[in-house]
Amino acid sequence: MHALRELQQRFMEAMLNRESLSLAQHLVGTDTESVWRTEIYRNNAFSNLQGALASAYPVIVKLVGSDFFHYAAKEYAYLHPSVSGDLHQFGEKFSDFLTHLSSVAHLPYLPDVAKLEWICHQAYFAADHAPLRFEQLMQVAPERYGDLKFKLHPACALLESVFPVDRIWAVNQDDYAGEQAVDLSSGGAAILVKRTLYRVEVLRPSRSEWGFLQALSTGHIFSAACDTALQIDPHLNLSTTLQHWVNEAILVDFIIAI
Amino acid sequence: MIARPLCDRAASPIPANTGIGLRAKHYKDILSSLPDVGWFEAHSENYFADGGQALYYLEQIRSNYPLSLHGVGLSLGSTDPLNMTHLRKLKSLVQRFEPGLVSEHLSWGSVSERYLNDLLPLPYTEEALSHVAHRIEQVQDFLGRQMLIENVSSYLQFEQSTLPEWEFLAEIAARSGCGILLDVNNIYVSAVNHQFDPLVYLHAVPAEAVQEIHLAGFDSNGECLIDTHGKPVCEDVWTLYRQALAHVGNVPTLIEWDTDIPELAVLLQEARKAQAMLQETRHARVA
Repeated sequence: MHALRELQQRFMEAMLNRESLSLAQHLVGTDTESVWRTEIYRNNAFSNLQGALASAYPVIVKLVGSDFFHYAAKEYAYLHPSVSGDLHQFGEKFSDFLTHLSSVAHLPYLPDVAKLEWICHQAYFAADHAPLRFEQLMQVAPERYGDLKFKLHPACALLESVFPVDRIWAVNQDDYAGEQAVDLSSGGAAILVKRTLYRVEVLRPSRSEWGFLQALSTGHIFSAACDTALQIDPHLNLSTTLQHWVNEAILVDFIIAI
Repeated sequence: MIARPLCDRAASPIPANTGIGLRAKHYKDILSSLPDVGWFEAHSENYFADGGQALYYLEQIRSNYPLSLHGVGLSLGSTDPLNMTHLRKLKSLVQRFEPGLVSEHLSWGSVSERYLNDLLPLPYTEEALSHVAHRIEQVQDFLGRQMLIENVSSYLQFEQSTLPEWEFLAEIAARSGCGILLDVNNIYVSAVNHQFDPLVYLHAVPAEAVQEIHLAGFDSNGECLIDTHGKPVCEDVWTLYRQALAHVGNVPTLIEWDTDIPELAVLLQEARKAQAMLQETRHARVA
């Protein structure tokens, strides 16, 4: 397998190197021909990767414009080549990449918008889960309520940012028709991403609700999560909140911690 | 909605008529109109998700039509070990949807765990032949079924190659026991790009191994034809398709469209055109 492997490695180097390396000695035809023939494959590969990244990050495309996005996506592909035959997996480190991209340093919220988009991308592909039935909760002895450990729906995720990235995300949705301006000084956001049927939603629960869910999602028992939430807002109605999350299929299962 | 009997999943081989490539843009149209088309072909990787919308639609469509699963990312020709994560996802998809056919490409797309997510050509050597045939056997063993292997379009040829592509393809089928998915458009594109006679290719393909045909449109960059799947099938390719049918008989034929995807009606019209040619061949054989 020696010759085949060596050829594949040379080919891959030629594709992923910024200076187009020549494959002329391996190809039929003249040197000039080998340049444009190799270039077709480079273009195809990069345009597939750029397309995949653009479909995972549509808001970033709008924020930076498609020409700049095209450039950034190519740089990203050089630094973080695709590691899967499934293009939907490509782009996981795009937020980190944007953090270090000096040409967008004047848009400090960009990495967090990218984080939110990747979470939405994952939520779209996440597993389905049947809702939790209240009867199941009713069967738990009241003295054990505090020991419940809840499971969030696989498509649910939480994100905190110092920027109002949920607003930035919302105004850049195709079907958005409201106020376009986003006040960047309006403060940060604690965000919940969920999927209702098959539509991914970006929500901003209250800080206490967010803290509650965050505690549950990191494996804290119900009583500890309640404490966290009540420290943020002593007036939070815990039972209404719990009921709401079960109805909304945000909490979909539980176990009783021993 | 037109009344149409639900498809019996376990017993739904791909019929010898025309199907179209399933694209997300058409999901709703397909389910609301249940068009008169023989079957659908889905790109396997588009349904590798754990859940969500794409799988929901595929379930609905599978309940109404025979389905073929066509992979683009297995990187069969790679000298890396087989990507077992990818293969396990493919297997669970096959188990869930019970497709009539499962296919992949005679190409590679990754090495040293880096992927180009493209269908890259192989050098046609004895070494590559035994490597790829062995890989196909491994995949077939893992999936517990035969798979079809499709010839790809190419824009370059390797100096190392010692066999013409058609001999390589025929030998791959003979050694691995895989079937052939004959892409007539790809034969045409490569024939123009590398100046060979497409009929020589066609007639070297073992007719009995061919279980599916692909048709699509291409573009030209001025120097070379590029397999973009973004246009109607061209006249020369229709002619070659008729010749292919004369050689291999009636086999399921798919219309593919992947860039600038038009309305469903346009694909259905292309499918009807192919269907008419399939019927001509059928009548010619009967007569």
